[in-house]
Amino acid sequence: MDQSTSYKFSFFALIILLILTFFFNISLGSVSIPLKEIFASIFGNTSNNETWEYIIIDFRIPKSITAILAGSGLSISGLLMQTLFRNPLAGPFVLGISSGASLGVAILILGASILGGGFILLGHNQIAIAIAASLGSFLVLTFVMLLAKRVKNTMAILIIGLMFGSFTAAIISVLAYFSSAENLQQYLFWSFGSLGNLSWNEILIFFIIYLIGIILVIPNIKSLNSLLLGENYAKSLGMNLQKSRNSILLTTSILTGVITAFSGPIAFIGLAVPHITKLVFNTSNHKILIPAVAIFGAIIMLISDTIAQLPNSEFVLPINAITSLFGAPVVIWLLMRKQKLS
Amino acid sequence: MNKILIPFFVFFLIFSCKNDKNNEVIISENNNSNSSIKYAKGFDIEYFKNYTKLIIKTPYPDADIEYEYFLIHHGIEIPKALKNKTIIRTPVKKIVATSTTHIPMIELLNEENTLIGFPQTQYISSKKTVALIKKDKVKELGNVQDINTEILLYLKPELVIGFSLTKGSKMFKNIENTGISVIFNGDWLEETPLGRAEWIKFFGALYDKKEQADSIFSNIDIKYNEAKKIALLAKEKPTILSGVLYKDKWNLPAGDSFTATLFNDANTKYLWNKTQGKGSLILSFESVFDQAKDADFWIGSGIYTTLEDMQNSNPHYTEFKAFKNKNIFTFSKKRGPNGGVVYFELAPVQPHIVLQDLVKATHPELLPDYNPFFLEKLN
Repeated sequence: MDQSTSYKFSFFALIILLILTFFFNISLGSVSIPLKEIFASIFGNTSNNETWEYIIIDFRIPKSITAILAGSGLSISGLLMQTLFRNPLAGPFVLGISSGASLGVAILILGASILGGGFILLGHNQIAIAIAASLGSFLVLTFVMLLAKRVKNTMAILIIGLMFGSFTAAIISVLAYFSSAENLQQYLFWSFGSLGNLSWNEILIFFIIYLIGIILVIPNIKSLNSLLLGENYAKSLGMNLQKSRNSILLTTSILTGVITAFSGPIAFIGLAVPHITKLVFNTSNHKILIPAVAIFGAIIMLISDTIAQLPNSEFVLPINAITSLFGAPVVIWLLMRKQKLS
Repeated sequence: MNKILIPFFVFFLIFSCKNDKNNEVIISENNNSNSSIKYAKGFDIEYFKNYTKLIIKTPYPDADIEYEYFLIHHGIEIPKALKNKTIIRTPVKKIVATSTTHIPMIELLNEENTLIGFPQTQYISSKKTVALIKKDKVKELGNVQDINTEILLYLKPELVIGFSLTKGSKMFKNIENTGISVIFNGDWLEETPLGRAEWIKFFGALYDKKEQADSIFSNIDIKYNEAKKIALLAKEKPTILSGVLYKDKWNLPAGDSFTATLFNDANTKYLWNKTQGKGSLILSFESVFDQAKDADFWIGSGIYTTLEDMQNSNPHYTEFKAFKNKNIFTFSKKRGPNGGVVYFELAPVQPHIVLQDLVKATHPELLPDYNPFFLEKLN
């Protein structure tokens, strides 16, 4: 009883923090826009400055929403993988999903140099890139799932995922060697990750697929909790291990796949946020952990994006650099503090 | 003790002074004309009676050393004072070039037959050389960052015209160690269009074709300045936006760059002409949008050649006035037979045509009968 009220308070505080970081993210950018104008634009009043209104409504808000979806989705996927494999080093990309997506995009962008022709322009088409990334991750996923059916040992799936990563990295480096500098640069920029430049329509597609992934998580919460105790124990509780395992893998793939398709391979968040959340919340109940991880992920992504924009300067940094640059020391600090306390 | 040493010192002093003087005589007595370089900052040529001294001032970005090459005609004895210097025998008969910008300059001097190898020949668009590649007279040398040493050794060029992005390029050092001379060309580091074109004199020196190179260049110089004068007749100065987004970063030419100089000479107002730097600026979408939403012209649209491609790649592009008015131009539509961008190869040696193209696009009334060569409108 006591515990659940304290969680309620924590959640309340987290949601307030999320709303604050959301507004904080929207209000800061390269172009400094007065707060009054920002609120005027958000709440539908016509702003005096058309340019500012466009920047807020069509650039900053979609970017913030992408940050929230990507941050929460990756963190949930990371948590699912860490629980399923009972390995603190697992993350959303261990199944080889980002490798698959990267390979899809690499073939589209870098393959243009080799295949030539119409491919060159497809490499610049945002939707074509999203489709290539989805196809790539879907193919890798199907392959991993097929193998997972035959492999009894969960750890073997982890290793298969890692092998996929090395395999695709090798193909990409061969493609990179033969492609033009122009295409190479473009691929590199994709791999840095990016939250911006999605239109409202793309955000809608993103959101629908994301929602499907989230809905699929819910029936798995109970099996996730029993998985923490070990596979054998979970089985003895009457859990259909194979079925839950496949369902968890599918959920992760949908979430990670759609995020990678729309915003590129964003590192670190999926690995670190579950750790940060567990340190703060001190529970292993997934009913609490999943929403907590989602909110934490969204907050950290929003803060990272705000830093990446280098407010009031004309420059921007790649989001992937910021998540790790500022995130890694935080995780180390939290771990050290926990060691001291215990 | 001291008394014994003094005569030695005196002897040494006299001897070394005399020696220095001798060197001095050899180097300066033949000096009959000094630098003839007008715009380029990256190299200099000094002519002497028996040899030509070619100085590369900026072999790579922010270079702190200069490279000196002594060009001596075949058959002339190498002066003693130059024994330890880098000697190149001219006219060069067998060369390997490494940048497509070298090719048109070699062709203008009618020396394309001296080219025996090139890395990534598929990028070359100059007609005469493309024909030679088809006849297998110009051998493929592989990737430009990793030239195939075996084929290079087999070809035995007298000279490799390299370029270096950083200090101490290991690949070119290895090539030099095999006994093949390497000379660094820094044309791409020039800030002004005429400075870049003036590098034809560099090739003129290597081929002993000074007069020809000088006259080609002075012709370019005259035509460029004519176009500049015509642009000044315009009554209005339209505003210019340039570059495109690479994900979150908008790449556009900095205020002191080659492209910004061209915009300025075409009598237009490039919106970032006050910025520092010779290379490119990397800005956020917001900042570019805020500044250039109402720019009159958008020149340089990256890889995009149609408005539809631009829209597909990023919906934000459509919000610019230049997009709405379809005033977007690109240099990269014209491609060579194998897909190389013609502008990259030919523009350095044809700055007058680039400038005329820009004047035609931004002040069409000034050049009513002119047909642009590089610059094309997106539709």
